[in-house]
Amino acid sequence: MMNGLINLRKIVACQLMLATLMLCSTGTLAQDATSLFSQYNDRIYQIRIIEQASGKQAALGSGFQIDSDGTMVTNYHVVSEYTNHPERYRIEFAGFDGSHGELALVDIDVINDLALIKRQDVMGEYLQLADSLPQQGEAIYSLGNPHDLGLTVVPGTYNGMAAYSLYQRIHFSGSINPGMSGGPVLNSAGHVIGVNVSTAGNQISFLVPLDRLAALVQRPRTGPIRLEDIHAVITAQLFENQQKVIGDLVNKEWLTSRFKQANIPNEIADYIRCWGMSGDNPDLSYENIMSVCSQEENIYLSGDFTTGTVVYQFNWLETDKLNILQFYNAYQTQIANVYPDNTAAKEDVSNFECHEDFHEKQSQAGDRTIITKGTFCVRKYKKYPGLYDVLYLGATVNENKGGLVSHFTLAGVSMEMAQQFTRKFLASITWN
Amino acid sequence: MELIVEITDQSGRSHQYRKVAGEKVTIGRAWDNDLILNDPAVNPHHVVITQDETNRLLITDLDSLNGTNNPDKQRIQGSAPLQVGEEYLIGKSRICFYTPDYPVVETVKVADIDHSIRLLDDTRFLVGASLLVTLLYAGEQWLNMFSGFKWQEIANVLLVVYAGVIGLTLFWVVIGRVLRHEIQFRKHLTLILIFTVIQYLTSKLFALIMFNTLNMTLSLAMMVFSEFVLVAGLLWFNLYLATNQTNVQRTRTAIMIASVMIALTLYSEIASRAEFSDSPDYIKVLVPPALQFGGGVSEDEFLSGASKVFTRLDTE
Repeated sequence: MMNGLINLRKIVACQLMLATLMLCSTGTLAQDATSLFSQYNDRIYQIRIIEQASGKQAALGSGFQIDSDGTMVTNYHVVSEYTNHPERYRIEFAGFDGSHGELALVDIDVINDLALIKRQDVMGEYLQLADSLPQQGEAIYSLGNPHDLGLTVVPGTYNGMAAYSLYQRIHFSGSINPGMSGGPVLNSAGHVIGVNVSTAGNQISFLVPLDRLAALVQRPRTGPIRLEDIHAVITAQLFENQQKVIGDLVNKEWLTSRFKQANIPNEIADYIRCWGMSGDNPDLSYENIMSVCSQEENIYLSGDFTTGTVVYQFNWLETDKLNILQFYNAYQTQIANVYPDNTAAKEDVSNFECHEDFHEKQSQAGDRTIITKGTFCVRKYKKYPGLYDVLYLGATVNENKGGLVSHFTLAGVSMEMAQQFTRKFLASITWN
Repeated sequence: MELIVEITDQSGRSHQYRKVAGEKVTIGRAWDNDLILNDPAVNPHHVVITQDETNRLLITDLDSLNGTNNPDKQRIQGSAPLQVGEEYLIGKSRICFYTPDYPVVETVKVADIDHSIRLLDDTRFLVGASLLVTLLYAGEQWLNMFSGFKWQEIANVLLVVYAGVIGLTLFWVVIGRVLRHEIQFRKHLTLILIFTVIQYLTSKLFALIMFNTLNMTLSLAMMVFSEFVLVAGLLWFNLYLATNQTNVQRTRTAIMIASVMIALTLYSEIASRAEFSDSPDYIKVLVPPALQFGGGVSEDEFLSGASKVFTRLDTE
């Protein structure tokens, strides 16, 4: 997580300039924004998740109507309280003109954080989906209801697909704030090109692109999703996604790079980024060189449950100042606190079960045996059967004053994919 | 008439036996008494014990200021038959009267353990054990200093260890003082130091076994068992020093208290396992190659072991 901070700081510097540029150019955009706002504000709604017991709102987001049948689009994370506990909540909309009413859940796409909901009373006005994405640099307009302040239009720039993005998010240079989630992003013709989904702060925001939205809207369905099927639908989506994502990873040639005495996997896919973080704490009498690689997008399942994580990390420890026992004590502290890299709560997952054993491998020259204390831990998903969080922790123990810690977390994977990935991961670490 | 008088102090510990003989036995603070009591609550001539024509012993209070209480805690009015072997309160003094034919308790056989426990009084043991404790804990701390040597950290650790040892010693000393009216500080201290050393060494041994077997259940079972033996042993010896229990009673008490302590630890361990935790439970010990028993399995074998975790989880 610390590497994320460093990264952010780098990006923030450039971003400040961008913000000033944008301020200068808002004058020309204002005209379009005004007309878009007045033209389409009757198709955009606030989505409210109402707690049945208290009758009060538990979550707020935005949404927009996309057909004459009253179907609306919002983010999955806006309605996730409802999908997790349909008996405790209901979904409502509130229009710009004061209209409001109840909504039924039609379909969801947890991978792309989308949900379709439908009003009971049909009314006509709706937004059209665009035919294609804009050109990079084109002005686009995000609409929504930030912090419950009322319907707002935020002009910004289309900046193509975010780099290193597994699930293909549009990089929107403009501010999306809490409450705007699920709101539409329109091109200057007033057609939907994406859906507000998240922000990295400082005018960096992300949108679910048009094609993902179109795919969900056009998906054949016989009727609204049945409440008792929600978990099964999510399970199927997660299962299919991990089959594709992890399947692609294990079928790939993994690039490795020299890491002291070992060779370790590098950036094994174009959406995975590796960061170097070598602890150069002058007080420590041992060296700790670290490489952390991760896929930086999670799949949101509920407020305290994320999945889809792929993280792998290596630490090389060595010393010439400490004696053997001191080094092993230091080494021990490095492996003492391993946590999965995704978050989950008691109602989501079981406790971890582990398998521990020493596994060994010859160096490439065949002149020595590397022994690794391997720990393989798994917890199962309670609501999504067949999916697991998997965590591996290895520590080599054949050297007196040096060792390699290897670790990965895979969140929301099947047993088959976990096994294939683990096999590939272990095989990819080689020794000179 | 011949009488044995036992004078007991306020805490119930008898500190004097006196044999007195004569036609009658007088008790009081004045110098002409047969038994002189140094108690300001006692009259100069407080009580007299006489024998009637049927050789019955009588106790007579001589109109004293504070009176004489019989074993039933009633104030004696005039004369009353003497209850042999029972405790009277004369002024503030607690006194028992015995006749020479009064039975004594059976002789206790001196156990071998008494001889060994006497060794605990040996200064060499005390010095040796405290040196070992100091060395082990200071050494442990030294091995955990990764960012340079600091005397202060060593001092801190020793302070904590010795505070614990002395605290426990004082606890037993107090128990001994209450139950046996004896203070055996040095014996308790030596004993507790020796057990601290044993405890330290076994914990290191189990870390070694834990790493080499990578078997959590086995290691935990062994640890619980050894902890039980250690706690029961320490209790047994301390009880020996601090109480008057017989061997059987002592063993029973030690096992009972140790069982309760281990059961409580086990219960909290099991309860914490049942709780939801974000972090996996695995063996967090690493030992250098010289202390390792053997090599490892192939990666394929490791993977096939790993796949069993899924089945284990699904059958839960």
